[in-house]
Amino acid sequence: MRKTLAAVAAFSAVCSLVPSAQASGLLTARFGGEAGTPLTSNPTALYWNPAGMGASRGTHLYVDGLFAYRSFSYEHAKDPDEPAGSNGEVNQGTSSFGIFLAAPTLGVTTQLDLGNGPRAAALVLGAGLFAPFGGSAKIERESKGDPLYPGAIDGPGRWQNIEGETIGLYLSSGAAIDLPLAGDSADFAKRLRIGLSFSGVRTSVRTIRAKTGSFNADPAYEGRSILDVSGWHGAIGTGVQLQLGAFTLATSYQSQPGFGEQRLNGTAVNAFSQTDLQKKPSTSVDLIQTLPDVMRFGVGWRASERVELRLFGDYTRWSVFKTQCVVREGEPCNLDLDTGAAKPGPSSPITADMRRWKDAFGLRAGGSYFLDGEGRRELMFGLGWDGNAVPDSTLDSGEFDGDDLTAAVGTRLRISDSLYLGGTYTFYYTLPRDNTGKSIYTTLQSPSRAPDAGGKYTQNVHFLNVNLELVL
Amino acid sequence: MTWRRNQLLGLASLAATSALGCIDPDARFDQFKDDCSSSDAGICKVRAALKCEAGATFPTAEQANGRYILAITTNLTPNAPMVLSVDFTATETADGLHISATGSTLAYWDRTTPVGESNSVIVQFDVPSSGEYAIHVPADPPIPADANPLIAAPVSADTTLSGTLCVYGNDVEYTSGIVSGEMFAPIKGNIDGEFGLHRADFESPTYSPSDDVLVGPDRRKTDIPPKR
Repeated sequence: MRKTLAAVAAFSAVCSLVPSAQASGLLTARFGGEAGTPLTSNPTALYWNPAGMGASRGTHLYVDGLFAYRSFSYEHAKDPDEPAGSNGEVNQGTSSFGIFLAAPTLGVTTQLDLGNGPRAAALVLGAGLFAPFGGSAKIERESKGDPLYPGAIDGPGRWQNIEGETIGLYLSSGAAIDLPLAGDSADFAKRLRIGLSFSGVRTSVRTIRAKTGSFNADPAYEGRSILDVSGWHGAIGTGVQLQLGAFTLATSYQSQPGFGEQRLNGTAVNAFSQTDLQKKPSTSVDLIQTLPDVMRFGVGWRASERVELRLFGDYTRWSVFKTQCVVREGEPCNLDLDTGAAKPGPSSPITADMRRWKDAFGLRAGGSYFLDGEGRRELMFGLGWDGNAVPDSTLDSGEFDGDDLTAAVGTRLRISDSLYLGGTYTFYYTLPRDNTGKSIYTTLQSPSRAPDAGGKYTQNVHFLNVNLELVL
Repeated sequence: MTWRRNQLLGLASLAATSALGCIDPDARFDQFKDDCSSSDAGICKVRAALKCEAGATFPTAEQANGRYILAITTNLTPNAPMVLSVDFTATETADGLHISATGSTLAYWDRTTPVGESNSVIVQFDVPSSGEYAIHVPADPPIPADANPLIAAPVSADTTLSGTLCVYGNDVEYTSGIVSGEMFAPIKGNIDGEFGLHRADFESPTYSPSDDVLVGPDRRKTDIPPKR
């Protein structure tokens, strides 16, 4: 088991993940491309909807590579929190980056007969590795530094993020049962599929950003703050598919990692002085946060031998993501969520990022056109909308989200008797956001106080999924 | 999964890493440190204690005696100092002065109201005839929360104030220096900064909390934060 966990850790070292903010918030699941839905029956169903595995027959081995290019910009005007007398211009301007990212997915399912005949009940077992949560950002250094304020070379967004990534990696196993209902026949399928999955979730956060000991944006006293934490937690997924002839109805539920509040352990470096810059002192800390659970649904209609239509969506309970609280190892997060101040007590958080996210909803419509009647050549298309989880008040360049419009085209080709090659290109366009004057960070009390994050944000992302599926 | 496959998977991952925009916070930290080393501003600069200039002399015990306002700014509160009133009682020794300092912390919001226990600041130190001194201020007793301009929590820090004591006229009027040490509460970490020691009596009607609280060799005035 330890070797497997080590492999998972190494696997996550591929500098994933998909950019933040796709499919709302940090939920970045795009594996499977246009076929990655709660209606799917390929091994990614283990994450999307474990019941979907029940529709597969034989043994399936699945490898998916998700490649993305994310471009992002943040334009910041004068910071109202700027201390008098300091050079506020170094906090103005634009932070931007373009970054290539990759995330792999592995999956396998195998079917066990529970009876005789082609329409007998079946049990399908599956295992897989998925990366549904996460985001990466790497702000470009400006071409010319300021001799008085050397930190300003990392751009005006450096107070929220200079480089950072959040990764949620799922090592999953599960089972689905496929049951014939009364009246099930070759002419009119009536099947009920129920699935359940268990996952070990490795969540990790690594970031560096500018910070001062006063939690403000004074460039004369800015230092650097590194956070590097990770942890393993459990999660479950469950789902149902009901097939009635040409229609398939599906719903699934993916629990919160850790079933609620999670504590990630690691180290923090807070260097706000010349001494600390040289010594780089490391403190053992915990990051305490709560990630959401996700509910998904979908409807599929095989309109004809050559046409299939799909409508599916998700509801993600991001409202539980209230803060990211960094405390000394083992201590609680004694934080007043209204003011951001530390509550009276023997311990106080080292720092806290106020999030106050809101639940988010996404909806996609898509379809497939089969160029032949045997399913050897399939064309896929899709359009979608992913709702925004981050309010203007806590929007920043470190954890960005917005309303996204998506368009996808893809294909799945049977290149031999047992091997399928698939690919999907998806374009994400995030509607520009402007929260100038709306950021609350400077109104919060320490340790939640932070420099103003108001400004204009733009983002778009190109995704390319390439996958191979071996059917035995 | 075999051990060999695990290793191959790891190597494949690392190979992919090199081709992509990977995240490396430590490298970015080192870049900042390098940039900082060529700058002379903010936390990058190496602060200098006030050196005695031409015409200065080493003070007598009588010239050093009296009441001062001690203002300490650190990297955590660069523009809002902790302010103390200290009374120096000096005795002359074979090689300089031996000074006993007693005093009280003052409220951060008016720099006039004593907070905490009276005479809670008691330190003794020697100043050789070169004038260079180092005052060790232990972490206990802590600075009370009402003297902490940053957050409503007591400050416990083991600090050293380093400077040079000299006199240009009748009495010691002002000295400054650098602060270094380690903070234990409310957060842990190294601290550094500056201090100023200005002859002023917070109980005098002529005392000005904005003009008499000075920091650093340039006698910098600082912000008076509003009361929380």
